[in-house]
Amino acid sequence: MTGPALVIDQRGNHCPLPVIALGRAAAVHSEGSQILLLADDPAAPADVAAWCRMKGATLVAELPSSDGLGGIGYLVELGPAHNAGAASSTVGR
Amino acid sequence: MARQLLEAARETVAAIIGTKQHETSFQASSQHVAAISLDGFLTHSSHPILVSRIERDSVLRSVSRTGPSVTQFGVDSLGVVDLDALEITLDRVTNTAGSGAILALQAANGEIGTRQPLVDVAQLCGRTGSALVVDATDALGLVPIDSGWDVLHAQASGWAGPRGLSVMAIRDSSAAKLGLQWRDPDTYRSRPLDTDDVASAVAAAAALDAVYRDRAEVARLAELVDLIRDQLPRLIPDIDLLGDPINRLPHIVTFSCLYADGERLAAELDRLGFGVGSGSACAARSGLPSHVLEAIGSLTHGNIRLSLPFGCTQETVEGFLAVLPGVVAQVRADAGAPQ
Repeated sequence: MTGPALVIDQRGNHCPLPVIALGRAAAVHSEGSQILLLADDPAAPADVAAWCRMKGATLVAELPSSDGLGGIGYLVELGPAHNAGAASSTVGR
Repeated sequence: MARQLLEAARETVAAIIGTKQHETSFQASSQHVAAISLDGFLTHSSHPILVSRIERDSVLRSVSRTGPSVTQFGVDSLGVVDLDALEITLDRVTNTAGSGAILALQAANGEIGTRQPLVDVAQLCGRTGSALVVDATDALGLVPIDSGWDVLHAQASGWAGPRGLSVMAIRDSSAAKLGLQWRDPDTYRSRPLDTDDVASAVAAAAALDAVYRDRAEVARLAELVDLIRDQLPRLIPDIDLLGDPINRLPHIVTFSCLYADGERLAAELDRLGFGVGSGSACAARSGLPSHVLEAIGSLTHGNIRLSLPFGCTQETVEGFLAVLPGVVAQVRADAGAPQ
């Protein structure tokens, strides 16, 4: 992939909405797709990282947004198991 | 009479903590006790201070007010202190300062239940001439606490004792450890004065004794927690079960549900008669996620914390497990979560 397939702007929305938007987008995209999530919720850094862990995705980059409107851009690449909806996980070492 | 009651309460608490009576005191303000347990060493010292990222807010606040340099140390995804990293950090700060450090660590975390390897941490402190200040609020009476601490403090609310009262113990041997006197920063005494509130001190000791004596009840609650931890991942998709599965408090279970609003989960469960807590950002007045959930890399939303009280029945637990999947599914659906 050379660039994100999809940009989701969730600035102004609070948890769990940014991660729900990420999950909805992930459900209709395939392995290897990249999604750029824009969010300014203070819980987003932790929640996006946890979502990637639970869904087998990779947080490729985490950068300040470039459009002057604030927030952070989370560039996520979907993994093979991202749409295994019933997967559960236990936080492990 | 009041003095005799206070001495009897002190005897009870000292026996459970595993310390001498004269090393033990009752303190009135639970906010204050975390502060003085550290400030007492620090007021006139330049010792570096180390504190874990998942200490209670009152400890983190009191540390941030102190003068010397403060270094935070991290925990792994179960909430257990990373001993290798801690050893490197402790060596670095004590070498730089040319003296031992003061290290603040809780015996167990009340949000996620994880217990800390205090034996190993005490060894590291001993090797570097550092003092270990242990917050035993959520563990005292319920689980054994390794004896390697220098100062131990605990809020009585942790064992359903009176609010606003804490116990504190300072080892005789510990004041000399860092080459300085322990001083109460308010009274400049080498021992903190007891609270005037004898009734609360007596109540705190009685409540602690009741918890400590009922080993069978503690074991029963631990089995109920095992049942809940076993069932949750089978019942709820996309759930993060938090804390150490083995080295944990017997009565705490905490989990986070992906795509769910923790405040709504807690409100719905409350409506059905189950009182639960939530460390979710959306449930906090500040709008900020719990620093404990952040430190372990958990989801910070959809968080539920169960604290099983003494007398909690298996029927209650089964009733909770019966309604929870429906509640989580409804809250997720209402928020438009992906299927």
